[in-house]
Amino acid sequence: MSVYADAYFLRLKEILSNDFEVSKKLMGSDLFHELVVDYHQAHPPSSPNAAWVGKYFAAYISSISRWNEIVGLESMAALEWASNEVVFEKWIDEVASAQLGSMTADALSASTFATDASVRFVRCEDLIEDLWLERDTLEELAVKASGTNAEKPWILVRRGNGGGIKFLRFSAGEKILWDEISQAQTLAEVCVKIEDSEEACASLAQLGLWSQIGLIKKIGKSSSSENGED
Amino acid sequence: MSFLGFGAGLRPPHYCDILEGRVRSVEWFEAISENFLGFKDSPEGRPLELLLRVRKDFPVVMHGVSLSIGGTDPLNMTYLSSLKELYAQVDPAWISDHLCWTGVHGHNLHDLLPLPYTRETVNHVASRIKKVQDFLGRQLTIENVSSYLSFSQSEMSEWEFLSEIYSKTGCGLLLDVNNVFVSAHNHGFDAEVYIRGLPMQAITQIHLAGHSSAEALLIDTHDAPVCEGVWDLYAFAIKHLGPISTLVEWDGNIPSFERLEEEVTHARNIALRTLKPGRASAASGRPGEDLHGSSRSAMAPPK
Repeated sequence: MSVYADAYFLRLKEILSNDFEVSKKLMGSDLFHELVVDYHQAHPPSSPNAAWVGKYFAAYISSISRWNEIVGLESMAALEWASNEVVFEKWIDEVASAQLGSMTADALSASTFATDASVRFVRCEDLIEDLWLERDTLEELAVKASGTNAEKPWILVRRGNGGGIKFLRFSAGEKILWDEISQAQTLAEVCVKIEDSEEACASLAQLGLWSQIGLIKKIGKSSSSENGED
Repeated sequence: MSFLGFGAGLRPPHYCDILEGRVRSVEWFEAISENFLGFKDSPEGRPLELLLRVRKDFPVVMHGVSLSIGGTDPLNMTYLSSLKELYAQVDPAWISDHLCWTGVHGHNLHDLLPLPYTRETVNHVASRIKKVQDFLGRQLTIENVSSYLSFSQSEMSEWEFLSEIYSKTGCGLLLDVNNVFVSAHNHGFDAEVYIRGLPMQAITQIHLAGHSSAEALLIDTHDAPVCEGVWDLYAFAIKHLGPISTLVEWDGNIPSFERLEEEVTHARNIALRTLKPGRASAASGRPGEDLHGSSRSAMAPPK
């Protein structure tokens, strides 16, 4: 019986460890273990898809004083879940590039970014650093977007707390950025892949900044908070 | 059921290799159904476009892990509806899940838990398989799971249980050779007797995988190469059954795609050695499945 009992918990812990790797580092393995025990008592998995085990993790941390007192933990857990969930995000209404360009900074920041499978196919031979264009403000993103072809999807990293935006535009359907991103299990690894800078990721983790990895072609106008809780 | 040749489980670390055309040995893929499903309380699974791109170039089989065919909760019709929709889009060669239960009272344990092999359980499982097959409008293939305990209430062996299920439902059987090997070790039965006891005409597919050991038990971890004992048992199975679509699973410590293909190639080589011309149909009694004259050229690598 112990094989089954142990495997049940270890499997769930492994899933959460993969989905919340930076959060785990923030709090340490022992505390993370205790958090996982508590979380599963409150939210035993019900979805047939094991990928959704961590769906309520950030909300649970937020609701329990023992855990929400750990500085940055709640934000980091929500951030990591958002970066995970964006891969599974439901299709929402498409917004043309002209609409994107006319969106205000507030509207843009309140938008939900949805995945488009095609954005994962880019030319691998393109150097990542050449593909990235950095813009410091939301307005510059909007200006840039307004002059682009709506059929060209975007990959975007959005940083809150005044962190600015980095974005990338590329042709769909040719090759794969997937090998850059899909092998990354955590936000930190995604950032390493994209930015080629472990230092930046470490800073991000320590500060608990809100960020979002978004693969976007379609943008909805719902609250960004819905990204973490559907 | 058609012979697809030698395949591998579709896993995210290998998407790039597959979609960029670096497949040399693998002839078909098995995808985990749940990863691509949408559910009422959750958004969609991984973008289906990814799977459909694989499907353009390769046969795909859909393999589920949450049907809980042996469970006592009512069948999850939302889940089944999602499966049906997914199958309509992917058009898999066949569909499968496990002979086990995976949850209770709406909680999913994400494990494949064993059943007591009783007449009552046969009737219970067979009834649910028939309902699933009727709802989906197609045959369901059922896989034997590895186990680490047995029930004192059991009235028959596992292979007799599987045979009973097959005779009552006409379902397919997915023979996981590694699971037979693991369970034979853990429970002390003869793995070859198990395989000989199965209705060979029902066997649609074979699984191969690695396992690990924990004290006296073997654990089905899928995190290592297939061991020699499992290869030997696979050769026995192929010799007994004839050509069966064979798939290598590797879910933990996932290696490079190239390394995975080495395992698939090894399976093919064993089958080639075992099924020398003229022996396959004689061994299996399956018409049209001799290595020569078969519509499949799949005993040779595709590229």
